[in-house]
Amino acid sequence: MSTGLPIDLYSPDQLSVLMLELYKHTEALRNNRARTRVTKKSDSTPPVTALLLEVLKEFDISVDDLTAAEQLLPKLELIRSKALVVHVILATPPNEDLRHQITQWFRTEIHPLLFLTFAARRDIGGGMLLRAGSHQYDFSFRKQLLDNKAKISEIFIRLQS
Amino acid sequence: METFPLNTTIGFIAMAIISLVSLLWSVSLNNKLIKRPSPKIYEIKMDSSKILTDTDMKDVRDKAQKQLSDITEQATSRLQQSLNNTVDGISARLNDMTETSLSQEFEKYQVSLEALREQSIEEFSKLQKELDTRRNLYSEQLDKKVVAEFKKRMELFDGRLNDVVSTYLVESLGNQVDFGAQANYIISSLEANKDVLKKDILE
Repeated sequence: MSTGLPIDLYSPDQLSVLMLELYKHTEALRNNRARTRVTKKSDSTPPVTALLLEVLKEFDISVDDLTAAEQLLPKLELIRSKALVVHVILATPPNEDLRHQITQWFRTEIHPLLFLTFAARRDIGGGMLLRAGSHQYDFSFRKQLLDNKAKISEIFIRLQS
Repeated sequence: METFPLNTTIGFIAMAIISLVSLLWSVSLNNKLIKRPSPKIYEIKMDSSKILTDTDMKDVRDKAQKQLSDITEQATSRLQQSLNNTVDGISARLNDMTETSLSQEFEKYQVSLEALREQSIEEFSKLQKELDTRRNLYSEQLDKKVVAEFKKRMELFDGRLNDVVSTYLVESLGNQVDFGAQANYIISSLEANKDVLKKDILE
């Protein structure tokens, strides 16, 4: 059983939505089980989102395994309560590929159960700003360019000669 | 200014010399009169004929001395008067001369000063005009040069702007920057600060 989180599950909000979905899924499974006892006919498994399916797969849980699904809920609740959250600000909203790369890097290099939030701010030009707790890091283009203001005249003179 | 006391001093000295000479002359006259020898013929006559007694001789001598004294006194008085007149004349003359020459000198001095002042004003006016002209000229030349240099620099800057900006971006942001896809830059920034991030996030 893998204890990691799928790469598509990157934010605490997603986790909350996912837990709600899992809770509804377990209810649906419980209802199915009750109906099956009465009618002696098994209903089809209720549909789940791709993300929940991926999470169940990560935890080696079958979609129709009610007991395992019920046990997963407190685990996810524990993960949510202790989750490390890093806020990432980019110049534009990230595409899926960039979001995956950033999430992957943080979970590999920092912590496997780390969550990210993404926001966009045009004025940073490019690069990113990071905020984790009380710490903030500026890897934006704007800062890099402002830190090297003196270079523009230096380059101009160098290119002139 | 120094002429006045000098002339006055000379006048006083001259007066003193004249007074001294007059005094000596009167004393000399007096001595001559006193020492004039009496003609022996009278003594012989007196002795022989007894015309004049000793008393008469004494009276005569007293009279002669008295007359001499009067004459000397008159001469001295006249000389004194003459000296006084001379001194007054000299003094008046000296005053006239001093006033005249001083006034003339002052007038000359004032004329010279006025001429100098006018000349200075004229020279300064010329200098001021020349300075204004040159300043305007240099100012215009400087403005032209500044504008020309500015244009030249701007043309050069425009011509090199692409190179400057590209080089500036590369040197400021590093080689990982791809403005289409910033993933490399972002990941390399994270890698470069991995230890700090890990420490701060996990603490």
